[in-house]
Amino acid sequence: MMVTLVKLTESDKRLIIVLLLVFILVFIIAGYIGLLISRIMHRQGRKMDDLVHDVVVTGVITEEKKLIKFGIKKNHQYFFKKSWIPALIMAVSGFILLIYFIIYGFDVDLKDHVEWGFGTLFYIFDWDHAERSMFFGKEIISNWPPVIDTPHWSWKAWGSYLFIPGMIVGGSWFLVCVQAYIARIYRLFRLSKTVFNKSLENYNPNEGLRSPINPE
Amino acid sequence: MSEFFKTLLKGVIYVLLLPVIVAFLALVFIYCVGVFLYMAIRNLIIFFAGGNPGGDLKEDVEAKRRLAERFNPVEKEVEETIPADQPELVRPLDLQAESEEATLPVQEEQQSEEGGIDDGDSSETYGI
Repeated sequence: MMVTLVKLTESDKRLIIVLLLVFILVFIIAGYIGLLISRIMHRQGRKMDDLVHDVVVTGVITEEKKLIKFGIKKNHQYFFKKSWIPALIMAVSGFILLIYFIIYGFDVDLKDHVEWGFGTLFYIFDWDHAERSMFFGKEIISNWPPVIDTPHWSWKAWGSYLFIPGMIVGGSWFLVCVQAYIARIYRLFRLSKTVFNKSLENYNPNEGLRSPINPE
Repeated sequence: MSEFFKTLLKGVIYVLLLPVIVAFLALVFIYCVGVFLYMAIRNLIIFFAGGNPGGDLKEDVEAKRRLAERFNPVEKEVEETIPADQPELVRPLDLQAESEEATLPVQEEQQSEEGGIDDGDSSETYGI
């Protein structure tokens, strides 16, 4: 390892700097994506305030455990109300695939790029025969691989064309509903700890005596 | 600059914890599929039993009742019972009206007396 470091060329140094910048960029982007997701979840969690507001303000529920139990029930109701559409999309996509398999057989490859799969709509690369070069003793791909197949329409792949986009759309939408569910549950547990908390932190019994007395 | 490094550090943590986050999300996803199926079956049973699947829970009903009471209080009827041996109560307005009716004829009499025969009493009053 030390012998390799001594023999670093100018191009190797530039490559290391570029790789470091790429890593920093990846971490910064991941940080901002995480920040965006946490802000979205914070906004989604606010819905829990709306769901349990009336029962807390009117004094119907006055205990932490009862609030959690009630909040979970309301959360389940609201989750079902928001997620039945994406679930329906996924169910319909699954039904279409079942009919497709019944017609053409269960051994159809949905990823096929020649005739039967969703891969017919994308460029297919031959990664096994891509140009490679050595980098610090490791073999890595150093150029774009050769193209095996180009995008083309295949009527026989209609099952894949309907199933895969349906599952992607429905699945992503359902995932967002799941994320909102987690956000509301987190907000419920935080609320249950603070709403019924009787704190004497800023209480001062002498405040009432400080008002000025007007002589008559 | 500190914000930049905070974001960078958070990014490093998110990337390192990504497999744990994905595993947690997958477990919650499976749990939510179970919740969805449970709620779907429950709502179907309630629907075919004639109920309202998306209706309020009993705590919501109680909260709405309390809110309605707070903003639209019901006026309570007070039963007034007057005992038989006690005289009927007269309101102040009635008393005032009765006093006005009582003084009017006396004032008219006084005005008629000024223009007519002078009595002893009235002369003492006006110093004639």
